[in-house]
Amino acid sequence: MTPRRTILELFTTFVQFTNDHFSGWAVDTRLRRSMKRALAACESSEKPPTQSDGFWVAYWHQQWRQAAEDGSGGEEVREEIQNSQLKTQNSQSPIPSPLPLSHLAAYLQETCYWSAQRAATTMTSQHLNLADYFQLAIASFPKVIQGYTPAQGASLKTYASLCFGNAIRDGLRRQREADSRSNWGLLRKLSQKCFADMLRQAGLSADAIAHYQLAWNCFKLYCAPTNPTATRHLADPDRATWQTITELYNQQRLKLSPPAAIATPVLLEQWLTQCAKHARTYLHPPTASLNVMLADRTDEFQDLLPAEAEASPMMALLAEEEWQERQTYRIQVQQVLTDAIARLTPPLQELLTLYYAQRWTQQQIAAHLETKQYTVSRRLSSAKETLLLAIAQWSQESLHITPTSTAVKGMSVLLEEWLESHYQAANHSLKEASTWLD
Amino acid sequence: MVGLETAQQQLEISPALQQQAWHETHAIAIPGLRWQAYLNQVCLHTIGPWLEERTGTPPAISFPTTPGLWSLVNGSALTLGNRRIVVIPGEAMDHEELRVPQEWIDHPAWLGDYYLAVEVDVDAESLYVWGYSTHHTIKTQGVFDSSDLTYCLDSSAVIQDMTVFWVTQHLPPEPTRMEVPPLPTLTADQVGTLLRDLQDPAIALPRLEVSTGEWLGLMSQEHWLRQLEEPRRQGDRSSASTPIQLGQWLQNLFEVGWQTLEEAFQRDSEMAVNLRQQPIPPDSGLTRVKTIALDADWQMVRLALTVAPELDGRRRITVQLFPAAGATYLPTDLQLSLKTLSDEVIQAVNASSESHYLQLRPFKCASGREFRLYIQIGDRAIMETIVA
Repeated sequence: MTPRRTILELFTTFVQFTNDHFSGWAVDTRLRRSMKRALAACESSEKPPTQSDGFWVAYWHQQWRQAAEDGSGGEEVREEIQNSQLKTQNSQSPIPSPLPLSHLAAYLQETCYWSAQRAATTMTSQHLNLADYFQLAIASFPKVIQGYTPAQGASLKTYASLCFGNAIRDGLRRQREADSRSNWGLLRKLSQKCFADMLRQAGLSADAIAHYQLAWNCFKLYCAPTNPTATRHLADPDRATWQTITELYNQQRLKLSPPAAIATPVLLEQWLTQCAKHARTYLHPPTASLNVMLADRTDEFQDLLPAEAEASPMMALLAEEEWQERQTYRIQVQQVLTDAIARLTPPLQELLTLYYAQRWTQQQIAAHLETKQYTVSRRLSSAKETLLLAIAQWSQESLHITPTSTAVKGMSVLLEEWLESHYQAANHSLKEASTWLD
Repeated sequence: MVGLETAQQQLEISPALQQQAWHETHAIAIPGLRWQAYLNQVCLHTIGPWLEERTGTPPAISFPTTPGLWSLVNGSALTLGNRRIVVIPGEAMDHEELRVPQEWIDHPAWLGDYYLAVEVDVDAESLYVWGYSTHHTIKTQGVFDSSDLTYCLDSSAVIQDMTVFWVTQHLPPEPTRMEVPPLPTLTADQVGTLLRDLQDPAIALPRLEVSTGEWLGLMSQEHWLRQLEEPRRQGDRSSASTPIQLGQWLQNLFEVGWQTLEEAFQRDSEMAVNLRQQPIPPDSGLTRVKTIALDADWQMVRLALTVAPELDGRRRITVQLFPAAGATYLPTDLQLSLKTLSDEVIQAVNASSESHYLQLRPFKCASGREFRLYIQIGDRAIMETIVA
């Protein structure tokens, strides 16, 4: 894969796969227009901002946050999202996704590619190719944006990289489970949210989903594993069980609004068998054109401003400010962490070197130290807790940053990024120190 | 970039704990609720030791005091120092949301500081603490699902990094709780009415059948909950004989009292011949016979069970009932029935005045599936529990 060079390319192009290989960068003309406008506006402003990735990430992320805030409150936005998804599924033309999100999605293409690449080489997974891993990873893009906190946080790239890695790992696990479970064993392993999402994707109406959800909850009440250690091959419920499930359903259906019609055991069995099918499709999505797929994904955040927003100089100033603040913070944290590491016991320092510089796995480290993997994991956690505590305490004392769970979570990702960069820099003597700054 | 391998806490579940928890929850009649109680027991006794190991002090268990209570409410509460931790186990493999029953959020005495998001994977003997949240976050950012009275917090709002949890314990405490309005106290009459109304075990989920105020009011006293839990227990099993483990039969381990066909029908060569004329294919598996006394007058019958493993891993089971040695016919009106653990009849046959034997239709089921066999005459019934 040829990395992109210019800022313009970074925020307007998408990876293209042909036969499982990278085959080029696809340009999104709508994004290109938008980015050019934004670039021009910034250049012609009184204080042209620093031309770096980090600034532009801050810029688009702020634009997105602004649009989200300008919209109505939480509940209504959720409804809008659901309605717009239904419209997308029922209409032929995809609704254009919000610009800031698309710019960020374009930016993260390389990060996603590397995550997929890493997975393809480390996980000797049977039937999945690079494009599949990429797809698994990029599916988590909405969650990446939703969970990213720029303040005291790591760069979007780091955060996204961690999320993509987790998405691939979790996606593979779900597929493995789906493949090894009977319909009934599979249905029990889904969260209610996942259950609703998969039915929505399959095109069911909100009312139908409510009915199916009730049936599913009644099913789980009366059909449970009878073996405390084996749940995968949960057998078909017998007639008596279906009868009991149906009785409870018919009792509870009146509480739905609108109330559901009376059901028969045969009907409920049909419904739930269908649900299992939808689950399998949902967990093993067919490979689709990535650009189209991305449009679908960002529909989850269909903002209420369909018109393309004008690039504003105020926005640029705010983004620049935020970015500068973060850079300053990062430089200071660097010092705090260097000192904190020096205070760790030599064995813990060695552990960090093995893990972050040599990139050994926990198993390899355990073998080398002649101990258990569990112990290695425990000591790594302990080292990170010490370092994270150092950042949090310093942030509070020097910068009066209240260490809420969310703030510390942001610092945790920052710590991870710093550890990676610090130990890798020690490896490559030619690596410029400024890579710690984005 | 290495993933955050230390973000999620993975704990091993001991097989011994699984068996013990399974046994301790056997009295809960509804399968889904028994499973819920089982998962809670496994979760509580895996997380407890882990918290003790991390903090050096054993956490105190605030709820529940008996596993049966999990058939009424999902979740447990632990006290760690001056923090109250609520643990709600789930089965979902996707960590898309944290679901917390409203009892743990809106009841002033039940609410906690931290809520752990836990997945219990019994097949992998693993438990994953995949994140945590606070009362404040759940109350402000969670969505209330009125269909099952549960707060749902999207995973993006869950702190999916347990390192953060431990670090925040060393920092100045953040506000974890939100104020909730006090509950109106219930009068003795109200409590009496509620308990009467909800006592019927046919009501599967009592918490959904009354108003929030009434249910939360009932939760204020554990002994009220116990009065709801008791009628929902399956019949007193202490006088029942040990469950028959057919899986162990296939490994040549038999419970006391079971004999081979030859031994049991030694004095009935004619009977033994009849037995073999029944439609059981010759290689079909293991048969054992037990003599059972039906009543104080020592009227006896002989119960023959045959189990055969199938290619797909299931078990094929045949049940037959024969008269006592020397008798030609079974007692008239003797009934042989096969029921599920919740007493739903699967099959039943009645003896006429000249029945040489009774037989249920052979059936197949997954190994580990539990059934009850009833042999009834008049108002006397003998029950045997079979584990396939």
